[in-house]
Amino acid sequence: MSAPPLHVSDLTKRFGDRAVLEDLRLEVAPAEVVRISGPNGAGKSTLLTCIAGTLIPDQGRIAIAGHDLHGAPLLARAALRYLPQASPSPRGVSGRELLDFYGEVYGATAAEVDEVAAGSGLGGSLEALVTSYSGGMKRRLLFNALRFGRPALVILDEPVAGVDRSGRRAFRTQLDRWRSDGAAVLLTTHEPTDRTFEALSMRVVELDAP
Amino acid sequence: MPRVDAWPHGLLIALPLAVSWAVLRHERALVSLNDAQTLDLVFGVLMLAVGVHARNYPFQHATSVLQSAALPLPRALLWRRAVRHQRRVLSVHYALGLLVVGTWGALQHSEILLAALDWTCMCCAAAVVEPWVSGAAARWGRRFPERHPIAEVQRSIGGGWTRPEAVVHLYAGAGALALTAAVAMPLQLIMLTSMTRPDPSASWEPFTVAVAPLALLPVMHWWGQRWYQGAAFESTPWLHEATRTLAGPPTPDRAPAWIRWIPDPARRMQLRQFCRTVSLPSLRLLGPTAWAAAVVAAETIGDPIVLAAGALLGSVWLAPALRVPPTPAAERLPWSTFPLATTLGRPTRRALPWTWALSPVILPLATVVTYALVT
Repeated sequence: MSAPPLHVSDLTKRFGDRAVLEDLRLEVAPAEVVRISGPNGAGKSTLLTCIAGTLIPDQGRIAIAGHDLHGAPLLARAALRYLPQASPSPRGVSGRELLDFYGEVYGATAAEVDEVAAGSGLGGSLEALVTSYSGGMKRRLLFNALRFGRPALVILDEPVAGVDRSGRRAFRTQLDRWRSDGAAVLLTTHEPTDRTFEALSMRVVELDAP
Repeated sequence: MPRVDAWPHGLLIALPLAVSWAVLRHERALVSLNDAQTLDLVFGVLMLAVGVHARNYPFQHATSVLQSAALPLPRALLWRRAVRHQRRVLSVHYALGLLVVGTWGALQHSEILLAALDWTCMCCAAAVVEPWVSGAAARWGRRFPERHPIAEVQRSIGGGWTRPEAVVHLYAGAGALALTAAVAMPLQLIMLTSMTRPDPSASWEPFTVAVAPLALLPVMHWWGQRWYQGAAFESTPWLHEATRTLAGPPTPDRAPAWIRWIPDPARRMQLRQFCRTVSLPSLRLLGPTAWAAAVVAAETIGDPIVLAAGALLGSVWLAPALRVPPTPAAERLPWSTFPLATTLGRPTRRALPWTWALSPVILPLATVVTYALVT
């Protein structure tokens, strides 16, 4: 039996004396979509960033596709795609160059990068600097940058915030594609009733108020 | 009040410059006042030049100034905060310069005093002139009616490179430096003449004439503040609009071809960012490259002057790297989520950007250590 896309056990994260996450356990099955829910400050983004490896928990174990995030960091990260809440906008880099970078990191061929670029809906703007993009364009670019390769787990922190209707449709199409490929999706959204998530079977994990 | 963003590279580049200045003064064993004055003039102007942006960015360039444009904050508050910052950073540059002219070089006490006073004049002039130039940049960095003379000047000096409204900022640093030198010069001449004059009873009339421009300094301060208050709300957004595209067109120029030789994608990405945020990267790289070639050819690594020159050239090349890490954390690429050996590790210990960024400090320190070992 293959390892689950995500296995979290006994995860604890404290900021000072305040425990934001305490002994959290979570397992996500292939092709499953899990929405992390809870009020502001409940630790949704903290959980996602711990799983993505950008925040180190105080205790607990995180395994992505069976690879321990700290014991086998490269293998775990190769199986992971992460869209942070704030869209990165590195200075001095064009949209196309950022796609090339993600493509190289996730082992895509030049043809695959071209295909993703063509399907990104950003057209000629891809040649412009990312810092000149609107918030929605950045979101769309970053989301497309996650399309390379076959991830086991996709983490999306507020994926459709600031994205227009056509961008949301493209997002949903890709979400369905990931699921059909067996990837699990872990997401947070303040718009769970949005049409993007219509008819999408989602397990909801509720985090308690702080 | 919004926090002033960290923008340390202008401070750090001053350090290797001071090291080079000190090494040259020490090695030349300056015997004449003229030698010392020539060296101090060159390095003094350089010291002010490398820190001009670090001292003055809170007037308009800081992100917090743009963010505060949506708040009903009087611009006078921002002006006062920026002036405080400018004087604080200037005092660091002043102290570095004072340390060099006061410590190194075989000069007499009176000559050391004169060199220190010369440097003091430059820094005092900069303390007043730079805020005035920032006020003027706010005043002229706005949109004017189509046929307004300033609009025509904006178009003609911009050459279509960046937004005409923001073009004044391309010239503001050099303008501030030139004006600082022009204001400081009379006072420097007075001091030189008074300390070297054979006849103390000679007429003071020429000195009075030379001091006259200094009376303008308080007026300039008031004037700059007035211009800033009246125009900063309007000019800051133009400046930041131009900054989003690195003061150029939205589609960037090609990155230098040699970047393709770097095998690691993370390093390649950061080098590309670095080169795009620096003016004329390949041309600037010629300096350290030529230095390295000359050292290899002549086998002169032990010469302290060569070391000082190397530290200076390398630091000038590397200093803009500090512009990459200060990007707000939320806007940075999530490096630690990529399956790349070079970017892994605890997020707080990610060394890659900071190794680049701190090179301007590491390099001169290494030079000092090498210098100490060699001599």
